[in-house]
Amino acid sequence: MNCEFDKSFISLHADGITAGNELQLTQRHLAVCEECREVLNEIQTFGTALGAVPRLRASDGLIQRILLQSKSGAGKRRRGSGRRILVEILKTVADGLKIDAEREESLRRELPEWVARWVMYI
Amino acid sequence: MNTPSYKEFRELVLANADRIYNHAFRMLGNREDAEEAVQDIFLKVHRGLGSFRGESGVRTWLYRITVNTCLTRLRSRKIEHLFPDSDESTEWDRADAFVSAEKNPEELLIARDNSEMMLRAIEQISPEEKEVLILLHVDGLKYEEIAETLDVPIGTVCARVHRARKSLRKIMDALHNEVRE
Repeated sequence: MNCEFDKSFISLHADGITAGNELQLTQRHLAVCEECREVLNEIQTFGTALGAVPRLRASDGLIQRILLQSKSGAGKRRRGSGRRILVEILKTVADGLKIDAEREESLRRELPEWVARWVMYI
Repeated sequence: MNTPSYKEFRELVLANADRIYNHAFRMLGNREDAEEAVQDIFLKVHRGLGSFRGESGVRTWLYRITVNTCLTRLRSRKIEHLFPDSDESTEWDRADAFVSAEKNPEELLIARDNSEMMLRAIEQISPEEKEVLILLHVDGLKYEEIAETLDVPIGTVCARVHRARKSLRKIMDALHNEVRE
């Protein structure tokens, strides 16, 4: 390749992206440069060839699997909610134990030891 | 958007499954991987639909998930599939039947050869370059849509397309030489 014209302009021109000065510059250059016209032609051929590959269809089986999966995915979320509720219950129990510990400390300070221990078992 | 109902999700799947599957197949090169990817994509869509804010269009959002899923799979692959799998031929036959009204058998054969060679060549460029060409030529997205999908400036898309075409050209030249020899 001998022509040093920026080929990225040709690439953009092939997709109809160039406008204004870039468009005029590219068009003027293409009018006189066979090499760049070939590059443009090749890019357009690539595009046409890629655009012509068969369009594939998702099978009915695949669609059914996706829909089933979404249902089981929702199920998992419900199970997740159950787990979250259980965690909340455990946290509440733990908070209760924390209160008891605080309470125990306070009772130890204020009451004779044997009374405080007895109160903790109530 | 709130948590989607089954009906809403089903409509979304039916409206987009072919498009997404087609993209995944072209990216991953075989039916099995493409089907797994599509299931994965729609699972992500189902989980994300409730929090989808609609800042971009649903189509762009879908493509974004598709692109990320396919690129992740492609990058993690140890062995590249260089050629599409054999059931592709059935699809070619269907496509030929579709365009045969416009072209004579010889033109049809040349077009098919070109497209097949293009598919072989495109398997050999980098995943990012492949992605951008598939979005542009196979999915028919505009530059602005590709930029939004890939979350990059439009200038980056222009540069990536140009780079991808250069890579493709080199590989196509090599393939043409192989055929001549």
